[in-house]
Amino acid sequence: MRRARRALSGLDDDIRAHIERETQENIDRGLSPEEARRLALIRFGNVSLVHEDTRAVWARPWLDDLWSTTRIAARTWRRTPVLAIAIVVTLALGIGATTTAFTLAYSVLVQQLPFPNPDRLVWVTTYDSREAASPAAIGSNRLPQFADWQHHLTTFEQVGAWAGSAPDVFTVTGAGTPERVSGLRVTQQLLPMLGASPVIGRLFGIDEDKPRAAQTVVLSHGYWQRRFASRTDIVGESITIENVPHTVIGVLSPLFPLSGSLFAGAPIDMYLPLAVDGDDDIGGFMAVVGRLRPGVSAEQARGELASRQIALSVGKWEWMAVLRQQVTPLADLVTRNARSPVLLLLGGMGCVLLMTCVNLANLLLVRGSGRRREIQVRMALGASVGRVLAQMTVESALLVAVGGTAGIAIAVGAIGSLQRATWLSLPRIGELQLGWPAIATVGIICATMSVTFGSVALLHLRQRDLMDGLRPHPGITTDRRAVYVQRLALATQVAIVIVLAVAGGLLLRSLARLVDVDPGFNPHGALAIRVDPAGRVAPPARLQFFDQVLERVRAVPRVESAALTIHVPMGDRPSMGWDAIPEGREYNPTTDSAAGRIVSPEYFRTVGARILEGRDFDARDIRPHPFVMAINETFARRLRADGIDPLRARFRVLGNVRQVVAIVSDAKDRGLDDSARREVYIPIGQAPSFFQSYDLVVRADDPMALVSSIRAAIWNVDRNQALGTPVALEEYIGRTLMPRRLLTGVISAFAGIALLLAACGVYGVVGYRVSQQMREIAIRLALGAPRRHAIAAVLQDTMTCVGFGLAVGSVLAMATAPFIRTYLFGIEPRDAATFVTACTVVVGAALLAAYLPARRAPQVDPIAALRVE
Amino acid sequence: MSTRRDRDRVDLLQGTLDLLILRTLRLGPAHGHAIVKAIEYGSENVLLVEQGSLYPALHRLIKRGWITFEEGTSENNRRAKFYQLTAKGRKQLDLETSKWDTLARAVGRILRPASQE
Repeated sequence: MRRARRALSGLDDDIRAHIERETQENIDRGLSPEEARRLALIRFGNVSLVHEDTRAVWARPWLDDLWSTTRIAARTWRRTPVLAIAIVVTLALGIGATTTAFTLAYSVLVQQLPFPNPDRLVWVTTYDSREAASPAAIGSNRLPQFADWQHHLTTFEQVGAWAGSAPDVFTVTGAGTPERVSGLRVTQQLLPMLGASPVIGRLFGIDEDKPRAAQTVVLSHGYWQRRFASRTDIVGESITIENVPHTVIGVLSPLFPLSGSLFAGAPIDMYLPLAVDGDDDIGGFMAVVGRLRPGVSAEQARGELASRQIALSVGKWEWMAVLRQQVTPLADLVTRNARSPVLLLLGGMGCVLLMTCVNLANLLLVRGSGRRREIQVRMALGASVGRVLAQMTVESALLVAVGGTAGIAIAVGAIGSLQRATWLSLPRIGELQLGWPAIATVGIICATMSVTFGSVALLHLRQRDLMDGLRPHPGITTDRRAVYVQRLALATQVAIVIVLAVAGGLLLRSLARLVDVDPGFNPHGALAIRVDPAGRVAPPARLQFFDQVLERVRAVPRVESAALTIHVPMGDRPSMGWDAIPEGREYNPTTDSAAGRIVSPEYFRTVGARILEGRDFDARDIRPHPFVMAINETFARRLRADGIDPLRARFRVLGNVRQVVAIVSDAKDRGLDDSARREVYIPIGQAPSFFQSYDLVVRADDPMALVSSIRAAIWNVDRNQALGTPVALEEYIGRTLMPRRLLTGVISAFAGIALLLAACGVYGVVGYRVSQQMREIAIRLALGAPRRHAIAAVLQDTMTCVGFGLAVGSVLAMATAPFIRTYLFGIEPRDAATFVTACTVVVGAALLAAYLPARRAPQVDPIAALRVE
Repeated sequence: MSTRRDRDRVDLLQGTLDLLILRTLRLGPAHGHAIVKAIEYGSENVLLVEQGSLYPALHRLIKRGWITFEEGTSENNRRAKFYQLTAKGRKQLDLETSKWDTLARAVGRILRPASQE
């Protein structure tokens, strides 16, 4: 560009000088000045042509053309700002929603986990081979198993583990106020295996996860910044964690993705070593992750794990012989709950994208009809169809570029707030990032849109209409085809909105009802910690151990009550399926099944269930005293329906005949939408001895604040008792609600966006119609029609389309609603109230969107509009 | 005044004109008028190129980096652009010259097949 400018500067002078020289030469040869000059000019040639040709050497034709076309396009849009804005808003919303949905789906379903060699990373989970197949539980392996696997597995390249299944709560004291942080106890191999690297210091060394090693800690980057203001001399300092001094050996890089990928975003503040001692029979649970050797299949790994298990289950670990392992790819377990909501989300995204395109096509069509004259004049003057098409494409491309950029900005914002919404418990939420696949897809969609809409604008142009456009009063569009397409587009949009609105409404109401459901216990103000004395305490001594634990825990200040249960309701593990066979009868598989739970005395009070009749379990209820049990309301009701007094009934449960001594309220077990079924409870003192690990439930005002004291109380009884992660009961309930919340939120958001899009469409169309029909309106007003007739005329056509769309949409919604039946709760898919509300909202929005521009109609000045331009 | 047809005629000789300009500049820097005169005299007035077509040719050559220019003063104290060969241009001239020779020899052989002297 610079070179061109420099070379072309003074071209005029150069040419003039040249001609003067030639003239001078001619004069020197004897010609008269005028003759000399004339000859020189002839010899030179056409000066302006030379000028042009010289300039043309430097011109980059296509670029200059594009620039001027773009400027013309921008000027054209300035003439119809309302329409332009409507289109840009439509694009922004549509592209924003699509990009967000695409990114979410991509990161959950497609994207590889951000660890090295993610296709070979697997979970190892342990299950009891006697139990029916249940979904793999993440933190189900025991220390002796892991100690064995570390050294003996050949199918795995490496294995690493962390304690429990999720980050634990630790108390840091010493400098400043004590604070509760989230931390993970890991074995030495885990961090390097998952690709962690330190920004300062180092990670755990080989011997640092041995028992009785000096206690070390690795801090997360975020925690280091927050608590220690990024001090570079932090390495070597000592922090007191859970009353034990730990030396800081390093700080992790901020990019380490573990918490975002596997733990739904809640940040982990620090990593501590997990002591692995193969001989110790601490039975704490661990989650194990391993990397398979290249070419090894999950089946082979399972087989080797099974043979290791058998080899291990000798002597004091004979009881482990029934255990087996499952090997699952890392991403599967994390995303299993989110898979179908995300797929439904993609469906919703398709709807929104469709709506966007229809909307745009309609708006452009409306606009195109008003420009027929301009296009026909241009073509009459010699513009080729290609040229006009190029112009149209640039015009749409301009808006698509603006709208697309705005859309991406919206998507970035939406993704940002999704990342911060840890309450959503979205899996892999930390990996949510606007990456190249999303941008590339958006780019392709935008490019396609530009070209398509450019051509759509020419849709109604037909050769024989050439004369029509050249007449002085073009009037409104008379092309039936274009009008038909417009009407169809508007009706389609309204129909889609209705479908989405009804779905969204049903889901919202379901969620509201579900959240209101009484779980049958009081989840607020209670937490659960797993206690597992297996191996450490032999069966005869176990009861005493548990008694002591309960006594100590109940003595902790501010603890209201404490109790044990085999599995806390709505927790990680569902209640067990037992048989309650009425005494004296034969086993009947269809009627005798029930859900069972082993509980300690005071359980019902602690967990907030109500004892409706009879008494709680107490110290009497241990072997060899008479066996007792409790049943729930539903069970009692069925007994009474059969004419049996529940409190006199006796059933055989788990091998012993037991007397019913209490009736308690129903408790939900897997989720709030559980249906009522028979439940039985047996006291811990009369349970079979192979049950060994129990959830300790503690009720207090703020139970999570008491975690340290509770743990201290338990360790008072047994210094080395390994404990599970403390989890508030409300959080368990929240987890069961996550997929529903996600789906409801997404569909509602889509319905909202679709509504906005439709409103935009109506607004744009009506606004444009008003400007087109200025003449007609003016004539009517001049002839004495009242103002409101003018508005009515404009609105009528549009509202007819809306009405038609409403009808079609309602039918569609009725037809498709049953598909989401599985996500509904307490409400029928064809609920009338929801339908009516949705339709009312949509019609209201359409009316408002149509009324706003139509208001301008009566303000038309008849004289001005009737003047011929 | 030239018409489109005339311009087409000149376009045919475009490449040759470029070659002649390069050759002329080999002898030293010159301004536009001088180059034209050199070509006319040098060809004994056989090649009478439309003088205006020089300028697009010169700019083509500048664009390709074969010649460059400087503002200077001519012999009659007038300002003018003086054009000169670049190293690239020199190489291009040699290349084009040999191509031209080959072409001329080939055409000559067909036109006069007997003459082998």
